[in-house]
Amino acid sequence: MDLTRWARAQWDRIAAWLLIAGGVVTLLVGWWGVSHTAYLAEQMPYLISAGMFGLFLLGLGATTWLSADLRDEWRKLDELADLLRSRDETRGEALPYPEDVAVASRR
Amino acid sequence: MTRPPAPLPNQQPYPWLVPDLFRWFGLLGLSLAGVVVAWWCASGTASFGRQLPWLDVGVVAVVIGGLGNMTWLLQGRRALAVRRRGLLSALTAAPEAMTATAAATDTERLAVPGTTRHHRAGCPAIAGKAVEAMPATDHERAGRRPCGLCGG
Repeated sequence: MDLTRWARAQWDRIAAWLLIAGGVVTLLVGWWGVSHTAYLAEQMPYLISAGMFGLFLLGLGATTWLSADLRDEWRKLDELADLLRSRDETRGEALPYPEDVAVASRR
Repeated sequence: MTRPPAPLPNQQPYPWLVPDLFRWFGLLGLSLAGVVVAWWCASGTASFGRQLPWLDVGVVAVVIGGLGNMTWLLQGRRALAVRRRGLLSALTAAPEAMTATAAATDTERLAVPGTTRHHRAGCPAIAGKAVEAMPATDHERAGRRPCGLCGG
């Protein structure tokens, strides 16, 4: 399989893995910083920066991954809608597509 | 219920619209800014008592980011559900339309011009011949009778 083509098609899953990996690395850096000082006041900046930012990245990565799943499902519905539409056009009639109305109503 | 084929609608390529994207990015930006401000202010003081409120700010900032992610995913799921429902209703409407079409063509009969019999489509008596199609009642009015082979 062509790697570039695959990467272009799965860019959001790659981004999700990068964000999750970034989140894990950030958390590890925070843990390393906290573990190297006994003073609570010195640990707090690590907790807030690395800890919070790590959680932020993990959440964003998980959301991006789930977004990719939703996008895949959306594409499948695209194929189904096209199939229905082409079949009706072959028969010389077009059934009403409430999904088009639903999509248009969100605009 | 028939109408001329409609042009393909300009469908959105994703379950989200541009305002959804702006809302998500806005909340993520707010969250990120909150974490940065909390870190900046907490690291500027050596007193744990003064750092504690900034820890709260950081937690609230992360929660805001989580809410942004949640609304983004919920919006996507909602758009998918609306579209899935629409497609399912189109699918359930399709068999009715197919039956109506079949019933319409079922009343059509074929006859070779100048002959006295009308036939069903596929009747071997008219195989390879030039035929005209019209409703069975019109054939009857023209003096034609049903074919004995296919039953007309």
